[in-house]
Amino acid sequence: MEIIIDKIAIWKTTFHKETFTVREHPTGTRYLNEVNIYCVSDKPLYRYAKNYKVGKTEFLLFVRTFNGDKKVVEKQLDEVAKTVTESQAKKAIMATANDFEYLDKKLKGSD
Amino acid sequence: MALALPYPDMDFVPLDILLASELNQMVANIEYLANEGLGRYYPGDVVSYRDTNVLVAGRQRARAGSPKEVAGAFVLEKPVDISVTGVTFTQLGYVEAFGENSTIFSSDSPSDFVISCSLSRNSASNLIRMTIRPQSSSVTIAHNHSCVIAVDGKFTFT
Repeated sequence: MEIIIDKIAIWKTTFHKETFTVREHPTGTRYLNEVNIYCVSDKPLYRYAKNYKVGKTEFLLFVRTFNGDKKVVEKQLDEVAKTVTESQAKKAIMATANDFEYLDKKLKGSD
Repeated sequence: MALALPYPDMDFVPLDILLASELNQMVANIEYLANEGLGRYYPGDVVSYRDTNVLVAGRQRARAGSPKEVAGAFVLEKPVDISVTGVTFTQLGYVEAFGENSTIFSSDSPSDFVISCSLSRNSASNLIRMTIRPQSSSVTIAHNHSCVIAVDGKFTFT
């Protein structure tokens, strides 16, 4: 699995007490751009992650983007979370650390 | 039951780059589980309890201040004759002896021996009485047992 910029992924929930977390990758992080070409970041790359629940199943959405606007990204994650089905979420919580799944969703305005 | 990890708020998802300090925190969590969990317990894995009162010494009943207290060693100062409700004893080892009115629970490892107890039924009240005799001054719940010593002076066996 590679870092695909702006693409939203689903995984199992983290144990962090905050439901929405942000990490900053250092410059020099390798990622795939929108046309699947490897690039190296020359500015801060942010990782946003948020826990959600569908039915009785909890899951996590995360995305890596250069967008530093926390509120905008969180809002878009919230919108995508509404489209996640419980079967998708159940599959995600069975995943291991290297076995997450990219959804067919991208952050708006990133195309 | 979850142990209180020293660094419970680890925040990472796949492909995150962890800092050296975070790796140290992860090691500290693992070390904590190995030591404070007596090297046997893992969150949600072993000892469960439904009630807030546990027997710690003699006839005294103390409120469990933390899961660690429940998961730790129970010191029985003297043979205890109690009857309490809500005992759940999940025997994953083997039953060493099983008689009509008594049974001895043990685990695969002699060092993990938990308790021996005799059961008797009060025909009038249909109450099962459980007499716990410590094998030594310190009794430790074995890693492959789930034992709940509960409240209200009565045992039920499930």
